[in-house]
Amino acid sequence: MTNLHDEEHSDVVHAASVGSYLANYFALLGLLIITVAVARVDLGILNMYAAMLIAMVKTVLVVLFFMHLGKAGRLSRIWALTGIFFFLIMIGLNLTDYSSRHMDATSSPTQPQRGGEQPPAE
Amino acid sequence: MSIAQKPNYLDSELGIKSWLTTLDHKRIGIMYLLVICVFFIVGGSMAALIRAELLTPKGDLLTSDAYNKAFTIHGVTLVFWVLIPAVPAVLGNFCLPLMIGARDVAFPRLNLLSWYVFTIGGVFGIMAVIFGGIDTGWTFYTPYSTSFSHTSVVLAVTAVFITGFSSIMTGLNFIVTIHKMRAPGMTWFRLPLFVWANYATSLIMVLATPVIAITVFLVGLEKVAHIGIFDPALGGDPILFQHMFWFYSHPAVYIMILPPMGVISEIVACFCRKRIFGYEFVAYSSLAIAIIGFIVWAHHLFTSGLSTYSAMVFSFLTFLVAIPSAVKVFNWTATFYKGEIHFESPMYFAIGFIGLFLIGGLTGLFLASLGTDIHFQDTYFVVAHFHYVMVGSAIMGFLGGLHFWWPKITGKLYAEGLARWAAVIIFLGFNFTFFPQFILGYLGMPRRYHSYSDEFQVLHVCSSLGATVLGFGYILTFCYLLYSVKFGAKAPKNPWGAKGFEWVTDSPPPTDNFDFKPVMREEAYAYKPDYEAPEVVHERA
Amino acid sequence: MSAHEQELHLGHQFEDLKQQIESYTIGMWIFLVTEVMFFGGLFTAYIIYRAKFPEGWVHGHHHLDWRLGGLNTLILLTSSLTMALAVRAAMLNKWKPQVLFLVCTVLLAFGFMIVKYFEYSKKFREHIVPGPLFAHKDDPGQELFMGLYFALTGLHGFHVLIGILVISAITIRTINMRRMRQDFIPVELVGLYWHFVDIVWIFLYPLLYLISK
Repeated sequence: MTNLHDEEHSDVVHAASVGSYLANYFALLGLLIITVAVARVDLGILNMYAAMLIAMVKTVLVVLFFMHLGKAGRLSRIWALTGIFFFLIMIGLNLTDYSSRHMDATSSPTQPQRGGEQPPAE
Repeated sequence: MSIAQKPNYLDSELGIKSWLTTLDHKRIGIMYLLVICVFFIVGGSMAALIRAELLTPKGDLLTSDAYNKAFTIHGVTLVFWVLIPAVPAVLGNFCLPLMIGARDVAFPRLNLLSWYVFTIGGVFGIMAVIFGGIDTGWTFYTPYSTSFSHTSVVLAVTAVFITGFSSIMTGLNFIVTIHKMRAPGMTWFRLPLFVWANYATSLIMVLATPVIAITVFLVGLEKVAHIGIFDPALGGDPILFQHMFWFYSHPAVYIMILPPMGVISEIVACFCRKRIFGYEFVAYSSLAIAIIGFIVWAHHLFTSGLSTYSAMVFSFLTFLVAIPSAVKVFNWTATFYKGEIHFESPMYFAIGFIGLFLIGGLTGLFLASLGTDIHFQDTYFVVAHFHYVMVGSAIMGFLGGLHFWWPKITGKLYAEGLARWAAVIIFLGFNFTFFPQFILGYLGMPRRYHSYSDEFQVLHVCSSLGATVLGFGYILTFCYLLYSVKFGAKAPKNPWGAKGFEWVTDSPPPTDNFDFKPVMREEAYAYKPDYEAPEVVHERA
Repeated sequence: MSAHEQELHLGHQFEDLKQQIESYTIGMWIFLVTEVMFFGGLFTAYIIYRAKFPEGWVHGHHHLDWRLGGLNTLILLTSSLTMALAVRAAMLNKWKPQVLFLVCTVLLAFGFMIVKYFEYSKKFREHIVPGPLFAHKDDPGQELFMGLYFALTGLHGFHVLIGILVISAITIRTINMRRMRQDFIPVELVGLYWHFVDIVWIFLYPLLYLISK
């Protein structure tokens, strides 16, 4: 009754074929070569986006075919997405500050004038 | 009396070793309580020092350096070793598996480990206090903490780093426990609201705590190796520290307040003999507070260099968190309507909680508004606001829960009359301490100064007198609870006539929590229409 | 099933093995989420400083050798493959291939750390470690880049070390304790952890070693 490899536990045992692991591995190697190759071509800002895109594809491959997130149950999938979601919140809301700092800098020259209008100290 | 001789979790094994190696969630909860008491005394005595110093406008009791250390130690110990773990790690650990009808949490070893990690972090914290103290304020703001402070910043951030992991372990444990360990029939919408609150809290614990870990890690690295990440002299941005710090520390406020909110839901339902009004809304509001709590952090940065555009975004988001908070308050009060209200001591604490939270929450709106915040930032208004929420409400909720479950935890009844008095004294003492601080802040008294203009003295004296009353209330509570452990009358299974799995097992519960297999066959808080509540039993004093 | 196989350990808090397995798996995934947030703080800092010091990033990354980084990526990807095969063997109840693949994984992890050691020691020799002795004091962006480089790769390396310790412990237990051979849960959990460590590196490699111009 306590043997994990019985039929009744088939939904927690997930062993894909060796071939699928190898295929995934070579796909990852291919992407590694592509990412190095792309980095050697100057595309300006696109270089970073390309590198991140490839890294994300690699991550999806690892998560789906090595970590079997697809078979890990709904709860694990929700949590994995939760992690990414809050990570993006952290970056995104930080960027609302950093991407708009320059707007403050352009409006600042008015401030000394306002200071000059203050009545002299008694 | 064979029932009385049945072994329970307290006397099934005896000796220090059996406690230090225990995997029982109930014992671990009590071990947390002991450590938290030690830090409560440390932080509380610092508060006493601060209030004594502020009796007079001149800095005559403490030097400014000593004062800086006093309020830093007060803040660091009470935030990280008292308020954050108080309800989840003590009451949550004890009650959560009982309430969902489980034998234990999902990972008992991890639970014990979390206590050890917590205690080791605490030892580092104490070491930081002993070896020179720390004077940065509990926020460790850079570049002061990294470049200028010559106190034990490294020890203190190490302590916070280590303690953070105990919080993560507790949160992870609770989430898996709530997902996987519920008794048959215990569906999500039959869960007691305390469990929902702890789930929301755990969400914050696992998602936010790693960020404070990496932040204080970088502070330590900056301090030791000068990598320049938060040092403007080396190109770093000190405001990034504030972003990362508050990404944790603002949600951390909800770690402190959400579980007490859950406690209040339990108490109000029980002593109104009524299902909480709008159960689903209260349950979802816990999750909403947890999630919205993540997107409001930069309101702590309104005056420290945040861009105007970003400040507007965060101001708007901050107002959003008022909605689920208000849902809770309205629904608790609505539960009283046509309830069969019993004024027992936990109910006193619960009503006190609602009052304090109302003031604390509403004053938060002043601080969320960009215009008024410029005026109130870093004044006593802020101090009073967050004490109302983090201390007034959170400790009130914690004490309410402790009184509510005390007969279950210890198997003893405490002096009910004294408990009611204590609740009243704490409520009055707290308001007397912190309400004057709203006025002080409004008048412009800045926080973190040990001397002040003469005109503020009357209000400061009020505050210090109130603190004395508050301190008396806490000491009184401590005394009669401790007394009851030794001399209290034996508690029955269900002294309050409450519903819930924890009240159908023995007081104190057996090691495996239940002698039977609990099955949930009804809604949570099914007091009406046909529940015959047993007579309320308590000790008169 | 052969007679010598003993019963697996079921924690007293669980009703059955399925509940236990699911609890551990979900617990591990949540742990990985905390790791995402842990590294996430550093990645946030990276994004903000890279936007602030694009020049410093370009100059800073010239101190890193993309070939060594690529080699390490290759090593970690391969170790992920061997780890996945070890988990597969464990699930199919074949403990000998499981041990073989676990040993491969540990060896590859050591290889990663050796390459890292050579990279680090070169930087210490050339004084491009942030601090008072930093060779390019006039360029704060470069120093921040190197600071983040050491923080990110240092923490990642620490995770690799933890992985080596845990995988080794599981390998030894599998060899020594019969009872452990049936239990694929420890292998599966450490596998998840190991793949996560690999994913972190998948991002670190282009972010640190492959900056154009």
